Amino acid sequence: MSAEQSSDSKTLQLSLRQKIEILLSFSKDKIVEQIQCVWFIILYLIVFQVLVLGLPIVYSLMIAAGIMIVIVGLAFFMEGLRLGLMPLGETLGSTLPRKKILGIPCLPTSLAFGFVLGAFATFAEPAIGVLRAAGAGVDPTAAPLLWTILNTGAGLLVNCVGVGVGIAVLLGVLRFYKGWSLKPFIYAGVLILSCLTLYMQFSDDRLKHVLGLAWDCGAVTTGPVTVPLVLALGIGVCRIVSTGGSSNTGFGVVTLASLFPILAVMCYALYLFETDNYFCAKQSTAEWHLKAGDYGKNYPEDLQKFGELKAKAILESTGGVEESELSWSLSVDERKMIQDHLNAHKALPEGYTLKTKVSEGKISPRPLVGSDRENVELFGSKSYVVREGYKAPDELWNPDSDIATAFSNNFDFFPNTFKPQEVDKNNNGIVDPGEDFYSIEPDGSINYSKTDGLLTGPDQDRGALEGAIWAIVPLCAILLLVLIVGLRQRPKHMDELIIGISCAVIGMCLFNLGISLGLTPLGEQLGGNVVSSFASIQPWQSEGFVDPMFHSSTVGKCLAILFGFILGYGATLAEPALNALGATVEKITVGAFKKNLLMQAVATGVALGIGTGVAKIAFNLELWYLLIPPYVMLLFLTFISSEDFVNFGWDSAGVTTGPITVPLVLAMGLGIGAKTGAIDGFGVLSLASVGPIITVLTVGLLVRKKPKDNLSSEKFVEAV
Amino acid sequence: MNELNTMDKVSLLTLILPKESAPQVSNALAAAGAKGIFQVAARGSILREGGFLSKMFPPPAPEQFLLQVLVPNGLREALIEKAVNIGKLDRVGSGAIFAINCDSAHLSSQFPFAGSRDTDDLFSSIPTLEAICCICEKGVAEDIAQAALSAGAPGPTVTFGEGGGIRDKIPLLRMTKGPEKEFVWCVVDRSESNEVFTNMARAGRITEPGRGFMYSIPVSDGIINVTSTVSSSSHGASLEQVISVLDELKGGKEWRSGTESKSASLNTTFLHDLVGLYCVVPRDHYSEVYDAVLEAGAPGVSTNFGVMTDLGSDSDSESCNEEWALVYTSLSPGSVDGVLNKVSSKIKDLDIDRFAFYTLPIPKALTYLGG
Repeated sequence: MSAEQSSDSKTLQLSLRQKIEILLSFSKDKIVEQIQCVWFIILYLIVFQVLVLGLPIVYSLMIAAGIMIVIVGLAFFMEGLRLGLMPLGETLGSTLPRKKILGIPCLPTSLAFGFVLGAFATFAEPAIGVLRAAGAGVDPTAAPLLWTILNTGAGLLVNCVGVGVGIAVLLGVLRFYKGWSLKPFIYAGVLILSCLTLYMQFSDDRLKHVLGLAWDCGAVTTGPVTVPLVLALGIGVCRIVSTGGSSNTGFGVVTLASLFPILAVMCYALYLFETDNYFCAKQSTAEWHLKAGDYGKNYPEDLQKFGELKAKAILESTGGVEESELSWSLSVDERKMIQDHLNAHKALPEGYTLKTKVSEGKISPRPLVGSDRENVELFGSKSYVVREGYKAPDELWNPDSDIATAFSNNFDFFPNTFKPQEVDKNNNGIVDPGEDFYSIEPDGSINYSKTDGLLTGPDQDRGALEGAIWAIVPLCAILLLVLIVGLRQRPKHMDELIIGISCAVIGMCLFNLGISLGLTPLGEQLGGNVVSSFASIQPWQSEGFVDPMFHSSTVGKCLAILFGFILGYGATLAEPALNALGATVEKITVGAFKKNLLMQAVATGVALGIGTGVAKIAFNLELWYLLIPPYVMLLFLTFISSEDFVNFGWDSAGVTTGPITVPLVLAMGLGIGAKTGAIDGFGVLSLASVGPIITVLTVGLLVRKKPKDNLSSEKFVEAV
Repeated sequence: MNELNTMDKVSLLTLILPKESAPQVSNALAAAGAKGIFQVAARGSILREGGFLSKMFPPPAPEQFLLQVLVPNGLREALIEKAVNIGKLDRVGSGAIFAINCDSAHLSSQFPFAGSRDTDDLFSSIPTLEAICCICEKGVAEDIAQAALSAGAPGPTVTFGEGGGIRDKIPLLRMTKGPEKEFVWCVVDRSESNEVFTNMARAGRITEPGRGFMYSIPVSDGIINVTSTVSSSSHGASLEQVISVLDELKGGKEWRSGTESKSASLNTTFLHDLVGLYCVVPRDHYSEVYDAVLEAGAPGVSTNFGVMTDLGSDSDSESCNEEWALVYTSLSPGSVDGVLNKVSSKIKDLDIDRFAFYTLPIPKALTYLGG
């Protein structure tokens, strides 16, 4: 294609072959780009599972296919962002301040628009399903308020978060117009949130349990569609609105959109608490609640920590082994063979061993003659003959996972093992979809009032395609409507926009599908299996057991923390929203800040945060110990940092916890939690979002050199 | 109403300033009578020193602004002096200012231009500097800037923009190639310009198809004091300080071009004596102008977006930036008038009342020439 050839004709005619060639080389580039993002985390997970834990990868074919689909999906989605969503947001942002919408001046309309956009984005990408998964083990007796919010109040929770995000975007837009710095917002927000956190921590146990949920809400609200759209919008507005030399560059909205939902959820919890409007509060006639007194202040200490105690009890009764009956099973042939062997040798054949399951806590001592020692026999225990080692399923593909149904039906996001056992309604041994949504009646019976298991509000219980359409189409429709009808401006390349939006939908759909086929099973099995570093477990979907890797559980837990650290690093690098943020930063600063700088800093931060989060779960630490000090430190860091790094750093906190990180991290958190007695898996995500702020600000302080003092004033005039 | 005023004694004054001092200088220029100061965000360059840490956490490059303003030759000296004083441009690393004689300029009556539209004496200054501009695909600029640095150019400056040509003639497949382009600007001494030009061209592989376009313009006078931050803090003196001391010791800048033999000349033919055609229009109209230029037969077009710092909407209490676009194409001298006429008639049709054309001489350019 030379320059001469093109100068006369208006459009260039390409042969089909040329077209295919162009498309092929283009797609190759894009796929390679995504592989560069994803390879680390995938390789790491596989290497860890196979080499460090020494376990085979179950459903390996399905996982491999899923990963391919993720990569293709990411390539489509990022292209969709580049062609469709981001230009749309930027065009709208740069038009909005200059024109009146239906005769109303720009500022009020922009603000209203910001609110609608923020609120709508939350409904489009509700991450509440993730939070429900994290709270799957919450016991209504122990944390009635948290349980209420997650179950019967889930619809309202989404509304609260939506309003929170709406107000955040509104304030963010107002900030652009007025040229305000982000720092005061941060100071005020962090102070209010810290005070509320301390209040909730120490005033009442029921309020305390909500803290993890509230802080995690802030981390998960901003998804891979919202972030690029809001960023692009901000950039558009800031291109137009002159702010008198201040370095407002369109960032900061995501920060506010992470802080406000926390506040909203806390307020919601306080409201429910004060109005006594939560599960089995005052209105309850149940005996165990009537005795509890106002707000359950007379609850026995045991009941208040019911979940933890229960988990601990299970853990102790089984000697660290708590597995499904299936694991103890042997085939008929095996049974015959063992019988024969026992008859012949009075010993178990090689490869088989005894496992004892304790169900009662009674022992009978039998003193030994001539000694003060005694033999202790255990009652109510059962011994099983089990195979040594474990047996992974032979299937390469999970028979329950079918691509065709995944488009319209959501795969179960989390494994049954993490769900409370008492919700198994039809007693078939597993928790069917729908059974995880239940309520406990005042008389103590379980009521599966919503047997279809669907929330009435917007939820993530959508299939891959449905979810993608929901996340993208309504938002884009609103933006296009405002742009074309409200502002009477046609985008320059309508065809590009439409193709971009379609690409985004296709990409998102494939991405969702690939995550549930590939990343979630991989993350789940690793999350479950990494526990084998300090506890005896039944490997994911396998029969049998592996023994703990280290005798000292502290060492094993440290390995788990290290695993979480590297997992956080790799998963973050693959996050699409972070990639979009990095590219935006690069674009805004004309390349002065390299995308890599931000990505690496954020990834390190998330790694630190997730490492801390795993430590929190593994050692059962209190969340506020881990949250308040970093935020106080952040106040100081924010104070001494330059405005642009404050903007990038705080914004990156909101984008880190996306669709790749969350399933991996939650699966691991819940897996470890189930072994250590920490039933709810909250807190890891909020820690994962505070980490990157710290590292970005620190890196900012390290790399940013002060503008050079004009030491040398030597004349250096070159000509005339 | 849209008659063009044609002038031929006009200079294009270009400034490269660090982010900190840009507002001051542009205000001072406006106060001194310049109008229509076009400001583009830019970044400076840093010398990379490899190392694991700086690869993982690449240090940010200095943020800069590129300012361009059309001034009548009569005002030129005064403005340069003013800018040098306010921006302290005589100090190391404080920025650059240089002026380019325009072949001709055509301004609409509404286009912001310094008051006196009557012509003045033409400066008879002999160009001693050369501005090199390279338009390349996004992501390539870093390599080109590094090549320019290593060839001795002080602080290449990079701006973002859009560009196209062939791309816009492909119906839908055009989206496989984004319009985003990077522009590398650097101003070097004439004696060094060949080597820098060649090095940049080689680093950017400009002579291969679809890689970009680069050209040089003679600069009549200016002060170039752009820094290149060195990414390691272990150096006592900045590179510029070292070089300027060397200059003094050697009594000139001749030593810099002493190693001419090592740069093998590019095995290609340059395009000689082209004319660069620049249109300045408000951003809202840029896509029409862009299309018009392409329709008129220009092989390729590139655009820089920026704001006119001294113009703001005065109607609202909220101050709005006026966004403008600088649409650039390079043509052979013979076809300039044709394109000019076509585009200006198009502009008349569209009733755009604020725009300007100017043309600059381009003695040397390089791109893929087909075949």
